[in-house]
Amino acid sequence: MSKPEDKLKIICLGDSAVGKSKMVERFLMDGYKPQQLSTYALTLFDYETKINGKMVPIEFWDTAGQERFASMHPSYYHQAQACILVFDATRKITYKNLTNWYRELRKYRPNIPCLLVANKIDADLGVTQRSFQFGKKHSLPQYFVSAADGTNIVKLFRDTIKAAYAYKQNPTDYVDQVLAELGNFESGKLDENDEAIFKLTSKEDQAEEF
Amino acid sequence: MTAQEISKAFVQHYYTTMASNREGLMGLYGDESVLTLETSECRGRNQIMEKILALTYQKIQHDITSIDHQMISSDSVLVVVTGRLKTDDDPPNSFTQTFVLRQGSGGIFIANEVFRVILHNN
Repeated sequence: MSKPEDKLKIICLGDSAVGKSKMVERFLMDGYKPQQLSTYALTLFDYETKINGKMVPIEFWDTAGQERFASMHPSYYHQAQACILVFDATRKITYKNLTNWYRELRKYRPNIPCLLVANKIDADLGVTQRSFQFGKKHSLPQYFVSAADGTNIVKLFRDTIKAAYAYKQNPTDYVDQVLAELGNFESGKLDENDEAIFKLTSKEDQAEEF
Repeated sequence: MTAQEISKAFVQHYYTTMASNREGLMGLYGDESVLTLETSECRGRNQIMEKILALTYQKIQHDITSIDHQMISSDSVLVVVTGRLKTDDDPPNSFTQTFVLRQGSGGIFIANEVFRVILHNN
């Protein structure tokens, strides 16, 4: 039997409609019904997996509209052991807003592992050839995924769970080490102008930027 | 018009406009208006409209549960609204919104407004 204190809490951050829920749903079984906690404006996905021969319960937290009006309530970050930070590879504004999300995350959780995700790569495979400044600047492992067709979703979530577990075992050490081993983060790549990456940006961005 | 009629007509107009054409809310604010939207405070029509137009949803719907009102003075009414709102494909969330409506030279305007999504603390 696993105890409640064994539970891992993994939070998703990023603008609305970047596909956070879709990613979690894709990772979990088809037809999985999350818990909708409207009194907290969040969506909870329960999951369980085996780590080192032991069953570990996991909660994925997703935002559910409160971020439309203000920053997330501090309880969202409370005791989280890892963060999946998502932007939409086809909408530049969601990439720009990573800065705000990341600042907010670090205010409450200065040291937890944070994995950076470019979602919707099915819309433009070209983005996977690029290295995004934001991830390099903050030394975040970076993933190119598609919640729509499932590309890299399982790897992303396995790595996140691994990182969260490592953090929980030892909140101060080893995290950097684990992060360095994860994902496809390459420190050696170029300083491309990130602006150039967003080929599909157009009216939609303008509409959102006001 | 009684305070009740004013509040009811106002609430109807405000949320219909919010849903159909946010820019149309401009006429409801004046230079002295103050809006507290969650943790940010905006003063005057320009700041307020900037804030409202910057909200990131494309669609919003309100489902009103209650409208309460009190006369504050001969030219002001306090209106307290509770209900649920739904933005784009997000799940519905509870909210509360409080207004002080005042009779100005150009008609009734929102002198004060406070908005919160209702969240539990832990």
